[in-house]
Amino acid sequence: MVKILASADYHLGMKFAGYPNVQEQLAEARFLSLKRLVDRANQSDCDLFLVAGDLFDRVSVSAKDVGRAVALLDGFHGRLAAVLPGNHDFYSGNPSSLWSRFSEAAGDRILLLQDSRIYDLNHYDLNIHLFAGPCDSKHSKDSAISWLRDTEAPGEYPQARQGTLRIGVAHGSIEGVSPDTQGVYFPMTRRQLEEAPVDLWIIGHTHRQLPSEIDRVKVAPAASPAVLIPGTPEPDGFDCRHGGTAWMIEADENKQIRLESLSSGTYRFVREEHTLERLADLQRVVKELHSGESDKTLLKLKLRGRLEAEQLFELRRQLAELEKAYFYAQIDDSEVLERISEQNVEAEFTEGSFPYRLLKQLIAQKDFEALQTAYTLMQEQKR
Amino acid sequence: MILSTLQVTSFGVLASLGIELKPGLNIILGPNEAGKSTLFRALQHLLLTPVKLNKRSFQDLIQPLLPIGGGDTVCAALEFRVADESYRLEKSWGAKTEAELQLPDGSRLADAAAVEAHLLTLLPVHPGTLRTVLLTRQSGLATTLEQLQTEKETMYGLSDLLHHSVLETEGVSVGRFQETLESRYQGQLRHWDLQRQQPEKKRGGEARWTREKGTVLGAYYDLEDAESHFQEIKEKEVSYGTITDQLESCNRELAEKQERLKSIEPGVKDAQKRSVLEARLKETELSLKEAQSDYDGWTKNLLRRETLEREIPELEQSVQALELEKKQVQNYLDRKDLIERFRRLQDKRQRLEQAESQLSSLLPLPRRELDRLRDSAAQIERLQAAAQAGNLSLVFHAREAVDVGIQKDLQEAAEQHLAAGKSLTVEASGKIEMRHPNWSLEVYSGQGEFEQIAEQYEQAKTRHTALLGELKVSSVDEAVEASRRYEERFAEARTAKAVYEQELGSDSFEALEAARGESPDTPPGREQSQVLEELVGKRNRLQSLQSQLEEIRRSLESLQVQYGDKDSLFARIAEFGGAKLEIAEKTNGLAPLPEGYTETQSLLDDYNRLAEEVQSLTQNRIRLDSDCRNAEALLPDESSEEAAQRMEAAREQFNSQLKKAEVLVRIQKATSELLEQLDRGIYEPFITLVSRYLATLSNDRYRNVPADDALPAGVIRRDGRVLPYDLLSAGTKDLFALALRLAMAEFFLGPKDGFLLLDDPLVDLDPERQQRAAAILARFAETQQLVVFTCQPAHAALFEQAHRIELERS
Repeated sequence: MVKILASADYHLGMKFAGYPNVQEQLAEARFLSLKRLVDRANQSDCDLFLVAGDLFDRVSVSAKDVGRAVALLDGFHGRLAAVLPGNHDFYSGNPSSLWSRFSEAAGDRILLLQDSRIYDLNHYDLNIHLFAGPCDSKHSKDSAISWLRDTEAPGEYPQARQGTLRIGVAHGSIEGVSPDTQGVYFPMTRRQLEEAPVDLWIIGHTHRQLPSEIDRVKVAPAASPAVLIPGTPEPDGFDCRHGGTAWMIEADENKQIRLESLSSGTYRFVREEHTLERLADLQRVVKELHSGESDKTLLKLKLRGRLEAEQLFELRRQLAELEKAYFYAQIDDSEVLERISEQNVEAEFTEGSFPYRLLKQLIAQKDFEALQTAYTLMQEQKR
Repeated sequence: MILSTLQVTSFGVLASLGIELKPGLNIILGPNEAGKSTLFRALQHLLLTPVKLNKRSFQDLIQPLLPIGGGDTVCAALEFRVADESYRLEKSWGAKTEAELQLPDGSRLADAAAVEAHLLTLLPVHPGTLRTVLLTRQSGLATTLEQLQTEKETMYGLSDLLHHSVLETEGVSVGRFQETLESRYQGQLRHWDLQRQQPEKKRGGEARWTREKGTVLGAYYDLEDAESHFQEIKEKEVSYGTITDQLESCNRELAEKQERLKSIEPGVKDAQKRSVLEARLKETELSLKEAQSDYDGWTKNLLRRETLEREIPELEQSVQALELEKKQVQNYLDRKDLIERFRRLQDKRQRLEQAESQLSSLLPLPRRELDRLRDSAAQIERLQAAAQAGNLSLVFHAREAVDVGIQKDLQEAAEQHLAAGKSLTVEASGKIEMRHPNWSLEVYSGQGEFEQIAEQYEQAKTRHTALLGELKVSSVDEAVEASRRYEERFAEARTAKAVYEQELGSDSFEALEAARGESPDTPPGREQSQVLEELVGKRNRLQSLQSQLEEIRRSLESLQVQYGDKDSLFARIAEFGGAKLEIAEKTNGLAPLPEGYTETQSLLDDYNRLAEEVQSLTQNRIRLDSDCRNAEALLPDESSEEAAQRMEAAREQFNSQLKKAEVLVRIQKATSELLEQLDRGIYEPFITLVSRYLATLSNDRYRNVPADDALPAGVIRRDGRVLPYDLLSAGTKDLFALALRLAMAEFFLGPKDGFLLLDDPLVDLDPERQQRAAAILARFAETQQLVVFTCQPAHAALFEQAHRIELERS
């Protein structure tokens, strides 16, 4: 039995300059997620702590951040923490690079999977062969596992023992899974993954965990290897809706694999868009938005629609409360307009007068944005 | 403003009169001279004429109203209500100039200017409108239209009013709305070219607008900054990536080359030994080959020398025989030549002797002598020409017969007989001389040189004759001929001599003659050429063989010097063969060449090349390491992905601002289109109102009015015919004017409380129209105060519900 905590895409050192008020907390949360997962791995007596690329956000992260990462990984009490360079923290062989600093600081229980080859972990008392596909640049149209195709002679492989678990660890986009329209993120095809001589794949780069349906499910040894994407352990933007994930993997001697999805993040990014046409819509949306852990949530809310004046007033009040409740809120209600009906116009303005005719015309044209602006301007004048 | 009471004191014809007015319809009935006009004027002055007037205004406006019975002051007072509050206004003009306005709270304004200012705020309409529209005299009604057309202020008022009623209702002013809209538009779009979707004048990047940027431009610049920030990061990442790629590629290549170097290194040491042995082997083989060649040459040369030493003496004898034969042939040929030559010499000697003999028979006349003779002849000719250069003509008349001798020029004298009375003309060039035993006459031309010329002529002739004698010729021509003949013969003799001497050469005729004396030899057996050809061939062959022999002797001497003798050379050959075998044994004992190599040198070349490449790559890696460090130091503190997110946020913001701006643009467009429409129909409600009044007044005979801007320009009859105002009857004009007046009053007063004064409005109407007019006026009075002045009790009777005030003639 071997226990592995498989993670990827920590992006330590990310700056979050677009979130000036919460920048530091967001940057710090990424280190917290690493600490949280290392702790979790220790609690579960994991043997191997695996990072499938992008531990760091850039090759130019500060020495301090590198030091912190090493220190956190050093806190893993299992046999080995193995770290694969991803496309953000690619390995270039530059002696002054981040990985040189990392290797200098790392002890002998942290292994940098810098080469495209098979790492025999027997040295660490682990009956595991790691088939590593590290990235050597930020972009590449070739996958990081294409070397597997070239190593056809069996003699190239290390001697496998009874029950050796063969794990592919790579970083890059996967055909049909990860958005990579230009095919520049070390794209891997399904076939490449399926035909590889490994028992399972841990693939970094895609921030959403896959497969999404498996939770504490056993995976029997199959003809083709299981492809596991850990996802990012700490969400990093509004296109990342989950709470931060990683995999806990248990494999027995028969290579029967048991998976558990771990939740590891501090903050959530929630992006909502709603159309408000009536009071009930407003009430429903507000209720929904108040239901989550708002103090740990970054909210990007876009509202549209048309409401009565009083409802609009109520909306503004509620939004002000939401803004206070959320850790970070970016609310755009500029497209929520006051419902200005023909009756409103008729009651308020003399028939045939300029305001009357202009507003009526805008209503007829269904140009509600122009109607709202023109009406507001007229109201301002009357005041 | 609703009028309550009007009080006049000492005002025109009225000493004192007060009337009370009610809201609604008031009829003031009185005969002429009862004071209606005075009341009318009193009201007009109270409301519109300040108490302080200049002299001229006073004369125009007030003077006519001073009390007829005497007095210097006119006074009037008016009580009225505005917004349900009471006011009292009192004014006096003339000697006593006072104005006082009592306000609803009982306070009073006594300052004339303050009274006027406050009064202005209480009037229901502007003063001009009040005068023109609301206070209408009898004469005024008929001229309403003309008056309105010249009364610009009222027209503007009407126009303003109409605009206001349409464009400025409910506190929304179109002007202000447009201003606000424009201000928002500027705030949003200042310095932004909406059509081209770019900053005005393309001022972006380094040349940005710095002041008064619109929100859109601000957002655009933010986006530009974000894009440039993103690009900068991206470029640095790419630059770093390129260097790291190079480094990686360099590392990979270096590793491969080092691996390859390592793999061939063990074979290289033996290969170096092999290389030395191979060089030695090559050298030994070369020496062996050389020795073998020398040995072969030695043997061959010995044999050759023997052959030559036999062949050469035979050939030398043969050459000697041929030399002798050659000599004999030559001797024969020389003798044959000599005989032939002497025969030719004899011929030439004979020709020479003949020529010399012919020359000696001629008198020698050399060319020099001939030239002397020619000069002498030429001198005679020249002197003759000089003597004949003049022109003389002499006429001689003989009175009696006479014989005279006449000599002309150089001619001989001749005798001439001349009969008595005859004349003789003598013509000459230089001299005429006539001689007679008794006299002589000489005539000369020129200045007397003729005698001298004649003397020279004679001398020359004498010398010439002597020369001819000397040369033994009779004339120059004969001398020339003799000279030509002599010269010819002389040349012939000279040529013959040269030919002879050439043939003779340095020999003497006698010696040759003596040598020729022997008899010729017997001819040789073959031609000289055959002998010579054989001789040359054999001589060459002999020379060649001698050279070969010399060469072979030198070669043999050299071999002897080099090797001593032939046996020693043979021993040397055996020695080289042994050394070769030894090298081959040593080479076989070395490690074989690595796989892929057949030649030691190619292995060593590869090794050296690889070593150089490894060294170069190592240096390159050091450089790339340094480049990498530098590029890494330049990497920004943010990834391009994060910068891209911010760029997208900036783009979103820009688009949002642009969208807001576009909303403003749409409102502006809708506003301007709407205003255009409104401007076109601005007078429409007024014209409709006039039409309505007119239709009612005319019992639908005239239903409509064609509009010319604000004012109706005539009427449209029920049958649709348009009648211009000028063509209307007086009654219809009055109807029209009344309709216009009521419509305007309604318009100007609007929802405010006000009043309309009409002076005998029914006077020119027929009874039926009077009825209808009275009904309409009564209806008008339901919403506004109406004061109708009339002197016609019948007219007053038409207004049954009116508050009636009857005046008596004063």
